[in-house]
Amino acid sequence: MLRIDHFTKSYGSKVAVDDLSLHIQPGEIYGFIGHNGAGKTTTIKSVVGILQFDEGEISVDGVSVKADPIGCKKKIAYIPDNPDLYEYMTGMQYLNFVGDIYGVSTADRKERIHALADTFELTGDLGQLISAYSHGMKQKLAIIAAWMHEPKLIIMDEPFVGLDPKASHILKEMMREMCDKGCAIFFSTHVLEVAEKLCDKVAIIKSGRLMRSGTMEEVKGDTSLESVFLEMDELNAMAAASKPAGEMEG
Amino acid sequence: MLKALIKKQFKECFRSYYVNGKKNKSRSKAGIIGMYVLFTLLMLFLVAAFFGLSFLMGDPLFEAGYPEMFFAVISIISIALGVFGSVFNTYSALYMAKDNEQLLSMPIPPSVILISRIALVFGLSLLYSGIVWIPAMAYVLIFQKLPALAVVFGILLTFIITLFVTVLTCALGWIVALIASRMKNRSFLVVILTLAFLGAYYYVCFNMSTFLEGFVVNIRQILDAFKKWLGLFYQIGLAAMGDVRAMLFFTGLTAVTIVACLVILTKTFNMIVTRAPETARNKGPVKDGIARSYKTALFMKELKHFTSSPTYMLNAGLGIALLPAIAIFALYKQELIRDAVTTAFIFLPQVKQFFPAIVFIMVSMIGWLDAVSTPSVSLEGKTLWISHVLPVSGKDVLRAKLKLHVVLNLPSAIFGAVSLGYVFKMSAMDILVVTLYSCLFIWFSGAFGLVIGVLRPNFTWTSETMPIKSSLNLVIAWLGTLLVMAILLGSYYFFWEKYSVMVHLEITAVITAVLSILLTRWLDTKGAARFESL
Repeated sequence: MLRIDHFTKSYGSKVAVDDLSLHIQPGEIYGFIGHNGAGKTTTIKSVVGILQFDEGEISVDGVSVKADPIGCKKKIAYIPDNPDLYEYMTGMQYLNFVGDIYGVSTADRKERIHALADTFELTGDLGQLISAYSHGMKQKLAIIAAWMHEPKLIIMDEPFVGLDPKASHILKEMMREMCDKGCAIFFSTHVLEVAEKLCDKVAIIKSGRLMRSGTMEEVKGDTSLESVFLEMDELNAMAAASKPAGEMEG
Repeated sequence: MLKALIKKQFKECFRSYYVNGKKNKSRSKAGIIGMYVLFTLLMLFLVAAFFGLSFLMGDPLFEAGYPEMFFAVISIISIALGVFGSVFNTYSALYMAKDNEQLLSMPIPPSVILISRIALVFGLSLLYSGIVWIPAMAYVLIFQKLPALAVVFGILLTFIITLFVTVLTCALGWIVALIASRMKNRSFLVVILTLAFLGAYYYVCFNMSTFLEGFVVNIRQILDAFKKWLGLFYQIGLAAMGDVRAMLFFTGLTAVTIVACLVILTKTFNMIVTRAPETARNKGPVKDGIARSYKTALFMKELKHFTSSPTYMLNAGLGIALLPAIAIFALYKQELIRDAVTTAFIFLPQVKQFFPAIVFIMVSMIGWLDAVSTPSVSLEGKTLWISHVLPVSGKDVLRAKLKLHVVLNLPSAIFGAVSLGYVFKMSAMDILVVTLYSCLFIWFSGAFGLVIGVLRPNFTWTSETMPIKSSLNLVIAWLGTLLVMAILLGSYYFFWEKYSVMVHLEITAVITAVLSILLTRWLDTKGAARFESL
């Protein structure tokens, strides 16, 4: 569903992501883990078309992000880490706007909006201006907007931040249901326990380079994901410390 | 603490002088100097204009022995311009800043936040009031003889008048905020209140011109009227002449109103900025939407943004209301308008044949003020990501922005052109040509403004006022459009013996259409690609 091949993205002379390759199959929930500044958001923003990238190829369901960005975006839904939405619209106006852009019929959008808003207990707030929403409410609205047009690939950047425990639980269930229907989900998270319980596959990125990827068993073995992550971090720190000063500067 | 906040306020206001919005990088020293040179030139132009006005008005009044009347009238103009210039910003600057919650969460008393914002209003008021009062003082110092105390008071009055203006604009901003926070359609309320203020302002200005006409002739009666009805301004006039009692009165009055204003504004600040408007608290069932095309959705999104922001409507859409108002007034006072225009353009041979060009200029100049498209790219701000992740092209997004500019301005331009054409007794064919040309010019000004917006976006604002009003983009768009209009119409100077004004208008309409097509083509291709990469 999502193919990232030899993806490289730089900001000036700083390489943010270096030669990253990931393949995500339909039905998979794929977790993307890494430190702050590791390159997770850069990768995600490049996949969804916010950032243009220098090298490599990204395709969604066989459609290239570079060659046919609009075709690609029709298959994707994206939920950012900080959902800045149009504050001058009400929740319902925003959902209808997204529905219009994706060509969701009147009947379908009515059914889906009500079902999803009821699930997240947001129905009563849809008439409010988004400017009055809390972070969690905006996050819920962004999730409803993402699910509403039934995308093939959902990409989320820290989706659980700001959600209350009940909404987090609902989201996890929705993610699994969506993947059972053949959709794929690619999301970044710092919450390793969530990744461990929810993901079919996981990738760990550090300083823009892919450190490990594969099924949960392949990556963590008999230990926990947290142990693997911390162990890897320690090994990297030791390797960096053992390098000669000149080499480190280079 | 206060110093840091004031510094932040002014830094935001003058951000475009130090940061290149296009590259989001600091400007070079030469760039900063260039920006200040431009600003200084603009100020010098305005100062020179008001110096000229002081000269024209001052001589007869000083000769007639009524110098205090000179200062009284100057103080009215200064206060009116100060209030007029700052009032649009005050409501959003005081209450609508995006860092409200961030600042309130810090250990900063609301009064300090408020004073730092009032300091910015004071700065703007000083700018607007000062360009009237300072040249008037310069005129008096150069050409008239005043006692030393009058000179000292005159200089002090620059700041006291500015403080008075600041209090007036803050009070208006506070009233608007207070009512708006309790109303459902607050955007429209703000616009209506401001338009009412503007209407009153223009009414005063209109009567003021009649008032000034008989100034010297009826000076005695006017002086009595001033003392009776406009006593405050008369006191300012006396103060500027060195009257200690009048100076103490005006200074005291200003001080009392400042204190009262600060107390009231501080007490209500938290309530106003943290209170959700009625629409925001609108719980309950909402209407389901009906599917529309994605192009309609993009256009409606732009329209929704425009109608939800009083700052946007007032600063970028004033002409939409002003032009029909002027047209209706012209229809009502046809003869007066015709006589006024004929007198104003008496230097033109056969002035009547220039009526179509004059109507076009009137319509286009008022429409020209409506820079709806120019700030629209920057206004995407932090929501820019939505346009980038949705399956729509940059071309579609930009077309929606341009369409908004055209759709909003077109009805008033058509109404204005047809009405004014009728007032000036133009033939049906001439009215049609002028109307079409006015429509084309709206397309051109919208496309040109949007090109500037795409080339020089700024997404890092904290208040919408920045891209809508305090942006260099607007100056470039306005001056650029004005220059094109001046070249197109001014070129008739070389052809006026060869063909008629109407023929020239037809030729320049075709040129405008070609320019508009070229700009729109650029927006569809390179502009769209640039927007997608922002």
